[in-house]
Amino acid sequence: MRNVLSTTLFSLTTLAATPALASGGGEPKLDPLHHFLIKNYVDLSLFGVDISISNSVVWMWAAVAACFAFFFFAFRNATVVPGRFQSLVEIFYLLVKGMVDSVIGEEGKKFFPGILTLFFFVMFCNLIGLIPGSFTSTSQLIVTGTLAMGVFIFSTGLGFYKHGVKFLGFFVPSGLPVVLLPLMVTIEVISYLARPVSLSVRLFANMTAGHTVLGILFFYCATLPIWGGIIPFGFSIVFNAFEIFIGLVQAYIFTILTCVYINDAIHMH
Amino acid sequence: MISIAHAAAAAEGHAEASSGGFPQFDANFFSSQAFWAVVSFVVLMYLLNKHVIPAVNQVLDARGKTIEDEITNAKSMREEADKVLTEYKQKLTDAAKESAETLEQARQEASKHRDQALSELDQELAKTKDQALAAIDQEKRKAVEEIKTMAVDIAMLATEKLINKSVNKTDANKMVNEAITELKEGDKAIH
Repeated sequence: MRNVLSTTLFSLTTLAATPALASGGGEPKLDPLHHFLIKNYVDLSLFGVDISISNSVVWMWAAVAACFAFFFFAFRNATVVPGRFQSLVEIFYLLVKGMVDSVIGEEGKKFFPGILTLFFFVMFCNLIGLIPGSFTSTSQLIVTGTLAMGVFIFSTGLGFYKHGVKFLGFFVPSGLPVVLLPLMVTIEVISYLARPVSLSVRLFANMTAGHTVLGILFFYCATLPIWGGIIPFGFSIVFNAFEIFIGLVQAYIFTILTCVYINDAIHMH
Repeated sequence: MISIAHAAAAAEGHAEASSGGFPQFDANFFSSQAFWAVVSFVVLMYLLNKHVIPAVNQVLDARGKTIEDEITNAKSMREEADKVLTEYKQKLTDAAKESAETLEQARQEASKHRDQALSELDQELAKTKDQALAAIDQEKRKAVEEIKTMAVDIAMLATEKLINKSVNKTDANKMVNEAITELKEGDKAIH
C-alpha cells in the first residue's frame, strides 16, 4: 500500500525530480544543482567559437516561441473590445509601456521595442523553467550577464552618444567640496560599474535559489516514505506558485532597472 | 526500503562527492549561451517589432479612437438634448402664457356678459315698474273720477230731496248725513 502511494507520488513529481536524482542508478542521491547542468545536444562552432546547442539554448528558443505565440494568438483575431486572453496580453504590454513612459518619458518611445523584448524574454525564460523537465535559461549567470552587459553597454553608449564627453559629468556629483571629489567620483564609477553585476546576479541568484529549493523538495517528496513525503510535496506546490510570482517580479525588476539606466543616460541627473 | 535516514545519508554522501560548485560557473558553456542569448533576443525583438507591436498599437489606437468618437458623439447628443430641453421649456412657458391670456379673455368676456345681462334685467325691471306705476296712476285717476261723479250724484240727490220735501233743519241735517253715509258706502264699494 505504502509502495503504491509512494510510486504515485513519485510519478507525479518524477518529471521535475528526475534532474534532482543523480542518474547513476541504484540509490537516489540528492543533487539539487543537477538541473542547472548544461548538456550539449548539437556541437557547433563559428570561427572557432563554440556555439553548441544545449538544453539551455533550446529552452531559450522555447521562451522566444512561447512569447511570440502568446502575442500571436491573443492578437490574431484582435478586437476593439478585448476578450479575456487579449486583455491579459494587453495588461502585460501596457505594464511595460507604462514603465517606459513613467521612467524615461517621451524619449523612451524609441527604446520601447527593446525594453518590451527584454521584459518578455526574461519573463518567459523564468516561467517556462517552471515546467517540469524544462530548463531555466535565466538561472545561467552567463545568460543574465549577457543581457545585463547588453543593457550596460547600450545605456553607456547612449549616454556618450547623447552628451559626448559631458556624460563623464554623470560621475561628478554637483555641490560637493573639491576635496571630496576624488572619493565621490571613485564611488560613483564603482557603483556605475557594479550595475551590470547586480543586474545579472540578482536574476541568476533568484532563479537558482528557487529551483534549488524546488529540487530539494522534489527529491524528498520522491524518496521519503509516504508519511514524510507528503510534507515536501505540499511545500513544493506552494513554492511553485511562489516561483511564478518571483519569475514575474524579477522580470519586472530587470526591466525597470533597465529603464532607469537608460533614463540616466538620456537625462543624466 | 527507503527511509529518512537513508535519504539523509544519500544527501551527505553526495555533498562529499560533488564539490565542483555551481554548474553555472563552468566557463566551457559560456560562449554558446551568450551567443544564443543574443541571437534569441534579437530574433524576439525582430518578431515583436515587426508583427506584435504594430498589431497591438493598431488595436489600442482603434480603441482610443472609438472611445474618442463615442465621447464626441455623446457630447453632441447631450448638446442636442439640451437644445430640445430649452425648446420644450420655452414651449411650456409660451403655453402657460397663452393659457393665462385665454383665461383672462374669457373672464373679461364673462364679466361683460354678466354686466350686460344685469343692465338688461335692470331695464326690464324699470320698465315693468313704470308700467305698474302707470297702471296704478290710471286706477287712481279712475277712482277719483268716480268719486267726483258720486259727489255730484249725492249733491243732486240731496238737492232733489231738499226741493221735493219741506224739510226743517233737523231733517236737513238728517238728509245730509244720509247722503254722506250713502257716499261712504259708495266709496267702500269703490275700494
